[in-house]
Amino acid sequence: MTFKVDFIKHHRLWFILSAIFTVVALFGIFVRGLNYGIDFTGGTQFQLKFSHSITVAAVDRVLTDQHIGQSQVVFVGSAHREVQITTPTISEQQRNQVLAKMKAVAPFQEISTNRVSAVIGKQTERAALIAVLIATGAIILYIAIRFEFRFALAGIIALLLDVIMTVGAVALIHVVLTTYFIMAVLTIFGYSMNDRIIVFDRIRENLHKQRKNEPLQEVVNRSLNQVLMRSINTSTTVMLALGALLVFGGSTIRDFSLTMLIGVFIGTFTSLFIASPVWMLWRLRDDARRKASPRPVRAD
Amino acid sequence: MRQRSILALVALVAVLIVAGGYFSVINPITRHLKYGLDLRGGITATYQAEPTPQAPVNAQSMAKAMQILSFRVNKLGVSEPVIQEVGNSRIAVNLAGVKNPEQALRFLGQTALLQIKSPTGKVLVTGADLSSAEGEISQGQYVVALSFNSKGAVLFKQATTKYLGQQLPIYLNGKLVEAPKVDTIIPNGQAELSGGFATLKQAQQTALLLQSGALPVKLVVLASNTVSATLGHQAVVASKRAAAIAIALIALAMIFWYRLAGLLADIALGVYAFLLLGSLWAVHAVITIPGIAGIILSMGMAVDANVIIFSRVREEMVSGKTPRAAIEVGFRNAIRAIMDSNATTFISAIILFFMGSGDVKGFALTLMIGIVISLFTAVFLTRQFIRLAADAGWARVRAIFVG
Repeated sequence: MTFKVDFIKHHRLWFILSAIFTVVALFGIFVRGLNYGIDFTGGTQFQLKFSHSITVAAVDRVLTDQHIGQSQVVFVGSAHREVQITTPTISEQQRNQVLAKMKAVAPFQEISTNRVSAVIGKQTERAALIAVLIATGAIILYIAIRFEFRFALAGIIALLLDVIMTVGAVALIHVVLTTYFIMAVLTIFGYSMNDRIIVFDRIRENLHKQRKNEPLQEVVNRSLNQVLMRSINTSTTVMLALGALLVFGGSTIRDFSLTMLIGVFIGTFTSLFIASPVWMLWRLRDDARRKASPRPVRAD
Repeated sequence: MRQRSILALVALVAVLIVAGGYFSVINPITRHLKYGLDLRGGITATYQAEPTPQAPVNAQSMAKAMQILSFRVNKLGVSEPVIQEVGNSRIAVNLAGVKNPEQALRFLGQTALLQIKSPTGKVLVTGADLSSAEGEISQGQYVVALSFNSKGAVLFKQATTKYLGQQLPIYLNGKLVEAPKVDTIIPNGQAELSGGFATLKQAQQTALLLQSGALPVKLVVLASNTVSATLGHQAVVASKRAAAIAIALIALAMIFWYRLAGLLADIALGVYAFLLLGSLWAVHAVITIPGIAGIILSMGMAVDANVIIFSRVREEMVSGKTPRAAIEVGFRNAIRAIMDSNATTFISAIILFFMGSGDVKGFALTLMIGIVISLFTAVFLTRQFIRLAADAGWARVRAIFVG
């Protein structure tokens, strides 16, 4: 099977499309806001498993009686037996009081308690951010040496879009952010870069084989069509695996898989439709400039 | 040549299947791996050290605090506890299978500073000069019997001599416990703390704390995460099942797209999985959820390497090359792309490993190990397989690839 898709002709459409998505994503991030979990905000979270199904109202009443009414109570699973209670940071004594009173609702088992000061998540986030910035610099350097500088920047622009769109989607769906979210973004970062290199490698190879007078558009289009099969196969495979983790994995890895799934999809899209056209337009512009101002003739 | 290739291929596959069966059914390698507490259940806590009037937070006081924490953790009797210094002023403690985690955390972080003061508030003797402390019952009361070492005994004798007939208040963690009246001079360094312990256990715990010595710095719980053993167990079971399903889907997709070549790649991928788990076992890596994320990414890259190789070989065949030539050229072209993509990911992983904090480190480590192994299996093993298959003259190899 060979493809003949014209990726380049409609590049304006792809750019507009991703601009819209980026705006929506930025709206998600800044207006709707990220749903920071206690890893970032600090607080106490515990999960209880009751002996029979209960109502959120009953749990809420106990919490309000203990003056921690601003807590969140959500069910885990479908049986309405397991609840996750998120409260602001409370002392151990307060927590024990709450648990003692909670026995009135129904007998329960304590499954997990997570108590975090806001410092931890923020620091993980900052350390990861600094590491990513340095890694980005290193990647730009590597691609500039092995390929050319324009590839490096086109790749990083597309990478930035990936991250913004993924984080935006996460904000819109309102997934609760834990430190695992940082891992998911890092993984997407790695996956997208990987995807981009494969595409760029093809363009680089075809540039060497470029016939005289063959327009650059042709070369890029041919390259993209050649890697299309591989792109589809690889992302389908990875998405199948992530889908399985999403559906069958436990609650702990569900949000992680969902974030990854969104990111892999977006990453595949931007590799094909954004990174390469950006590189091409840039290169065409540079070529046109070079032609317009020929090298000054040396007067000797 | 042909028969030898068939033989080699069959033998190779047979060995791998037998080894795979052994490591997955008879003696599952996953059973030997160490799982993090997020999967296994237990407490993970991070203490922040804060300076006290007695000591600033420095390397020396942190070392002392670690030593004291280790002593106390051992008294809790948990298996394989982990006590690590994180940065300059934090201590991370991992405890598996503790019954009452909150209580355990409070116990570990207690300062346990014992001070006997003069009526005017001057510190005369401290817990640092204790040689032992025992919880016991004395005259129907729960008490902690204290014995001072020689230095403490001298100080205590001086104190009881000087303040004979007066009260000597005893403070624990800055709180007044009791203020007994000194009836006689005590020369042997024996004393009793009877500060209204409700149970013998309470007295024993206080005794343990006093024995371990006073923490030079204040330890504040910065974060603690308790996962019950049942939830941990469920997480492991669910993740294992999900991983098995994910791997099966990948394997089927590969066979669907690349037929026999896909099957051979699946075998190479299987080898990859075992080598990865084996390496994680060998370096004593602790498998946590972030680590699993790293495994997923490297697995995706291993699959990708195979997909790239086959796509390339297929292309060369379509363009009219003989199977052998197509395999050689296809591989050469594919490897350049694979090398470049793996190199960039590896560079990011190294940086994440050295710059990131705990969770990020685990992710980066599995990713790096995974990349190295995937390069080996995809590039070396898959190539051998396909060459042998071509030599074996299963050559409608062309049909295998082109479909």
